[in-house]
Amino acid sequence: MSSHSTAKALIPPYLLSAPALILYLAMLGVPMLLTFVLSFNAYDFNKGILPSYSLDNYIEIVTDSYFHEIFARTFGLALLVTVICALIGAPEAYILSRMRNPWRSFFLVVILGPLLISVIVRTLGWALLIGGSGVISSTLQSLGLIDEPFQLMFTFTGMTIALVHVLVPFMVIAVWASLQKLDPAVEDAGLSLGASQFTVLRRIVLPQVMPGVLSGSMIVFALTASAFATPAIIGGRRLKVVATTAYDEFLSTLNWPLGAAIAVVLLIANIVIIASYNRFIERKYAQVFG
Amino acid sequence: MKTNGPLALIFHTVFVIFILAPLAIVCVVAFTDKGYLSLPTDGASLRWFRAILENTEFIDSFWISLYLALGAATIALAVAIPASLAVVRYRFPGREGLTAFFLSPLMIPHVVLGVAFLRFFTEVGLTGTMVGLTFTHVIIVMPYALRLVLASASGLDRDAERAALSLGASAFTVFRRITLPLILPGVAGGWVLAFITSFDEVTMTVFVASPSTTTLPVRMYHHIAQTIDPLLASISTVLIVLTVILMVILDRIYGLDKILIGKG
Amino acid sequence: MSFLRMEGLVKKFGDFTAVERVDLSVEKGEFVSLLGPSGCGKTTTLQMIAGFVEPTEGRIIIDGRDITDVKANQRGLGIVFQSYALFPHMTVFDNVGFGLEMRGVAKDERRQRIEEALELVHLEPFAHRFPRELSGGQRQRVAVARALVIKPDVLLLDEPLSNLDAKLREDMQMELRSIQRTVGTTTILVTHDQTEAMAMSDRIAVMDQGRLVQVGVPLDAYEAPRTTFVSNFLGKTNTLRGTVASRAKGRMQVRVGEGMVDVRDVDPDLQGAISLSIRPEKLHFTSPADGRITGRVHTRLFLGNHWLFQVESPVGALLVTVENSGESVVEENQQIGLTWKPGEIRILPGNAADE
Repeated sequence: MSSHSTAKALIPPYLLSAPALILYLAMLGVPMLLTFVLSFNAYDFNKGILPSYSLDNYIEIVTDSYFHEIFARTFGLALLVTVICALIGAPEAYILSRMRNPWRSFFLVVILGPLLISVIVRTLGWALLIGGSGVISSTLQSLGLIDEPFQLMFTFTGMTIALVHVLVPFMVIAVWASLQKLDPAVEDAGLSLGASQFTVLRRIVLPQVMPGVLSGSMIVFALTASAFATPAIIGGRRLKVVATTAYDEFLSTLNWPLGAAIAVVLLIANIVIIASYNRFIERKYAQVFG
Repeated sequence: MKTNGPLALIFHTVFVIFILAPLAIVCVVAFTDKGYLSLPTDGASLRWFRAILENTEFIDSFWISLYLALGAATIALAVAIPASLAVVRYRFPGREGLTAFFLSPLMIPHVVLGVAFLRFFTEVGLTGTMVGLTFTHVIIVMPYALRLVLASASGLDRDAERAALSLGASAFTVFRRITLPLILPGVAGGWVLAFITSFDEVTMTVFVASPSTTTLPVRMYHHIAQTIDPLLASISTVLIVLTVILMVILDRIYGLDKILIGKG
Repeated sequence: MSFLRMEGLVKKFGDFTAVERVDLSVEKGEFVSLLGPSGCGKTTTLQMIAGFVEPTEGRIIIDGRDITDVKANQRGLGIVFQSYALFPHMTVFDNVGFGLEMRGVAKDERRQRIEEALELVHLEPFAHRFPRELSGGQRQRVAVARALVIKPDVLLLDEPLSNLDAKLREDMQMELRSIQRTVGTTTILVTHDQTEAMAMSDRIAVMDQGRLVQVGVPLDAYEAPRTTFVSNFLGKTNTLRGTVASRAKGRMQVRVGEGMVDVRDVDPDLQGAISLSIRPEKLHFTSPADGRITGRVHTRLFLGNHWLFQVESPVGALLVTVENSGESVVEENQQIGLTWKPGEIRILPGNAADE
């Protein structure tokens, strides 16, 4: 029972979505367009943004070794964080799914609740924990296990740990959603046919939650690659990532065109990641899940 | 075997400790009696909580964040409700594209949004204004609000609306007396989630904020960049407590697990 | 002068024609069912009367007023939806009173009319409950009360009993009929359930693929179906497809399968492929020698108030029902003869094309 679409009947939906559409076109469409255009401008330290158009900024990003290092670090960070999140997030989601209520709901809130707390607070917590005068260091020192302060601040490892903490809930969500679609009877069928618990996990459960793991990986990878606050605080000035570099160019150096170009590259990278994931998942799992 | 074995439970415990550790540490350090970062091993004190009250800058930022979040959430819902009804009720050309467009901010890195908004504001002269900032937050929180309202609107019994029409109600009365009450959980839940998301936002806001529109997370970010002192810990503790309270409210209105899963 | 008239109603959705043409007149106070399988266009027709779907062609006239272009919220009709469509956030009292509220009826008069309506459907003690606290049958009655309290010109029922279990459905059929008699509202019922339609209606209108194929009093439609479709749709029937073999002295021999059936020659022009239709309850067992057809009992089922038999015969498999009178009946594998009274076998033109 759907309303037939004569021209007259189409007015309501367009009218209803008009406010949102106008808002988005003005506040999202235009800014993105302006940024894209800006990325082609040139910048002069004295004169500011020059009204000329060229691919120079992009060429600089692609050829300058300074940017190579930053992109490599960002990409490596994203990859590492994604792998760790998958390795610890997926099993945790599985364990959660096997709990009985009320524990299950309780721990779901405990693990996912931090998503509602500002990333600043969460990152601050890690700064307190891993800094030279931080809790972990002081504890280990007072226990006599180490001699010097144990410093993970401003290290790649520190960034990784903090980012894993910030992003693992997304992995848990994705795998959890996948697990909800599983028919528990299928596991029992495997057991009844003689498989060990481990084999059931490996051959029956894991293949079915793979879409969830991959979906979570995509989200975690994209979010890590674009992360700003956590790398800025934990990584500091030395360990730059793409997002902090864009920030520098925009707000320190004031080279807006270059900053815009970095932002555009980051956006395109994000879209490519998401699009290729969707394509991959569709092809691989369409036959199984229809 | 359906329950978790001891190995699984150990893993789970370590995982939960990992998740809670930073938050716990923040809360613990906030009670230190010393003038520098330390654990309250010699005695707890509320000095750093009192210090918040003396720090007008942070208090101003708190209010800025609050009003910003109130404004952004309300505008986002005002715009998301009609959009959701349009998408759910009618099959019109561009329906899927429009929905994807409205959800697109989720896919755009906040850094990119920050750059774009900053560029836009210099063009239209809205740099450093509360109005401009509010609209940037509307864009960021809209997808969350939209998803929750869409979920509620999808479950709406269309026949109930038709019944009201057949009984003589005008289109507006149907919306006011039937539709709105029935999608209220999605609307309320969407509002609270939008509020929280706006309040917490830092990456994009750091680009767009000006001295007069510095939100709380942005001020904290700048403060951390210089020095980490217990004041930040006490402020964070207050934020954690407030968030927990809001989570309880969210759970009552809508069901917290549904929202958290939807946040992914 | 009919109270409700549908003239030349047509509804097309793009290339798809849901309703080809409906012409129907309903008298004031009449109970008419639109009956047919899913996809026959009955629900679309109802929605056109209700005003939720705009007819492509045609007019709807109620009490002399052409309401074809009148908006749905100004037609003043009472509608009971298949899912009842109660307002979940309002009590039974407020649900029933909603239409009166919309008409600006004063509070006291409203209360009185709501109470009368609830009395009519026997739900007075539930006035302050919410729909989720009621059973399916109770919700259905609230929907009826809500539709009738506004004293509508026409009551529209869209498969109102399909979500109830069998026993409840039977009880509700009687109750709905009795309510309709009491209140006297002109009523249109849409259903795919032929027992329901025949039980409750003054007249039934059988629809197939967007057209009315037969309109009439239930007994006539059942006993004298005009097409194979109608005879198959209303009740069970045995359809024997055959060809005219020969004629003589007012009788016709029809070859069906490997057998011959002798029937009265009703239409000398009838040639070639025809269908014979006979209801299972019209076939009677007799000895093989006395039967017009012979056969063997293949299966026998006891169904409480009657027996159902499947009989193998030269003309094909036949269903026979026999009322349970307490006496013994034929057994499985028994050789029997089948006979019927004159005029109880129907002759229908054509064969499978009709269906």
